[in-house]
Amino acid sequence: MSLNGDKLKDFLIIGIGNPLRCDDGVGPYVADCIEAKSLSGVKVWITQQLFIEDLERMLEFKRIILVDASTDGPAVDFHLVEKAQSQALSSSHHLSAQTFVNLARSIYQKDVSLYLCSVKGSCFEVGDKLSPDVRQNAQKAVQLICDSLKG
Amino acid sequence: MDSQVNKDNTILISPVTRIEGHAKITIDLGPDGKVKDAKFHVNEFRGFEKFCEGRYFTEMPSITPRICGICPVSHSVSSAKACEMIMGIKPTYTGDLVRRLIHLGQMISSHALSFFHLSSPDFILGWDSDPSLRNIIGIAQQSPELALKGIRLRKFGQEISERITGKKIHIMGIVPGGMGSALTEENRKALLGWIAEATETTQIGIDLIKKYHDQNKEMVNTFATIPTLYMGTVGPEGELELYDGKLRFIDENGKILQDQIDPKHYLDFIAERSIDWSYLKYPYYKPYGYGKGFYRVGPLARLNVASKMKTPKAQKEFLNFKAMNSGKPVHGTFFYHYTRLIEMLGSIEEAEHILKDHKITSTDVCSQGKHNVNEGIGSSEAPRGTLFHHYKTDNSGKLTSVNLLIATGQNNPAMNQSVLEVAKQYIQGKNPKEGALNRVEAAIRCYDPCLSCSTHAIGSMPMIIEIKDHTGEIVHVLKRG
Repeated sequence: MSLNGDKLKDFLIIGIGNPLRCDDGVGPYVADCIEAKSLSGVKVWITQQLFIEDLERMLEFKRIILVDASTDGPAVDFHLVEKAQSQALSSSHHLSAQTFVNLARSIYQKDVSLYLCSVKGSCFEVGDKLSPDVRQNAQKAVQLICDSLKG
Repeated sequence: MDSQVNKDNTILISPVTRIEGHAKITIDLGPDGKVKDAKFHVNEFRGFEKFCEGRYFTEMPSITPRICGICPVSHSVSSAKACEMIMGIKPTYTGDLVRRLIHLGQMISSHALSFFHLSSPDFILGWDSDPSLRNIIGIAQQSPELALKGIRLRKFGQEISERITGKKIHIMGIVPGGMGSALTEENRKALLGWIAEATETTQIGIDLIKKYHDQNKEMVNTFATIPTLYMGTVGPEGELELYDGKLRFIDENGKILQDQIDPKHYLDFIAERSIDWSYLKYPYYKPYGYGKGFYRVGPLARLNVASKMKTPKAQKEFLNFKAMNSGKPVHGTFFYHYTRLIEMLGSIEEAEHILKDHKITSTDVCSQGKHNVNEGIGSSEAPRGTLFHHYKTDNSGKLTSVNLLIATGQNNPAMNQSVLEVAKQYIQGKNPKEGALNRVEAAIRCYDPCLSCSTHAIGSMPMIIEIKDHTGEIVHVLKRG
């Protein structure tokens, strides 16, 4: 049940990034691709950054999937975000996925089902085009997310 | 916060945390290990003033909100006013009212962020508490109800922007002549529904800080207490004005130096000087010259400058604030927090008043005009202090010169002095405890500086503290972020 007692909605996909910084826009791109499929029970948001204030609305969903560009790690990664033991927080401009899980527990006493899908980027300069390999990997991310929604 | 002691007895704190932007503090020690000097460095440069040259002037209210995610409305408002001066027009009644409402929303959002998210962990969790939890997460663990209230208060401020412009941050829709969108009746009612909760949360914050004052009188009264001049915007009767008014300068004794100055004459009273160790300039009150003319802006300055508040609840707290130094200016930097909360209370009251104005949902939100003269100046009180936008154009309306005088820049000399005072008070020798360095950072946090704005730089906000010995060698460095 959600905070206000209504039945939880199903899935929330959040594409994070700035489409004007080349591969940083891969999160919004993946989110757009999923929205275009008009899947039942799937809500899509696109944002440049996450704020603590967003958490309340996020908790209305059974499962949340963040899609974001990464600068290292595998080309495409998809994993459940675990609660962190401690969490340094030096900026109000940026909140990590782990911070959200921690805050959901601390403030709302909720264990949120939060997944992070990251797509490694190679170019973060000014521009509105994804690199060719990132565009390809974005399609893999779309497939991974769609498969996970069936499970 | 990471720390490092260098061989030359220099403490480096980097990054300074819970502020908006990149920065570094260096602390110089004398041969006796006592603090000799301290500096607050800003290492970013962004160049908005330069790359906006050549754009058509009416684009500026849409470009400049991108300078900052915390005070985009103030940039857009000041920009639109500068454009209106170029066009020789005024906004419509409702356009002006809606802009004022969004501006109040931003004040609430920014002040809530500063107090509940960034600064309250120091005095709720303790200056010397675990730094990894000395933040909103730590507050959430210790006082989840308070954390939630603080988060929701900021959300209310953002929702004002969102319900009018469709965006919480980097808003669009403030245009020369007024607004590009109107407030619907549905959204008016929804925003009114927040007022009681927002008022209650702000009052909790005020009670919290007053209790802290009572329990820590010596610390609060000696924390970077530096007599300076002050500047702020006031209405015709000297009342605090955040959106539109005239400038007032006072001296350290409260004597009014200048009053009811039209902001378009700001260059007659404010000059700037570059320094070689920071991208932030040193502004000063021109008639007094460099050094003696250093002044402060922002909540503490505004309440020191103002004769009264516009709303009853804020006025009650204002009288309490004024009584702290028998009506004379309060110089303690720590009182930025209290004055920030008083402003937030007044902003909520004023927002309620505006939301009950029957013309607020009118769709007559914009007047029209075209390029008329080649120069325009606009100002508003951003959450951190007075903000000026000054544009010059050619005859076709293309910008030939852009000058942005930002609140954090104006507080720069005082921030440096505050860092020095607190460092002298709390740091002894080249291996200070983390809590002592946190106090040095906290002096900066009082000003809630926005380095993204003031350097016009891309903001992610690490900071460094360096301690140098008497030979100039770095002996200790703290890094974070």
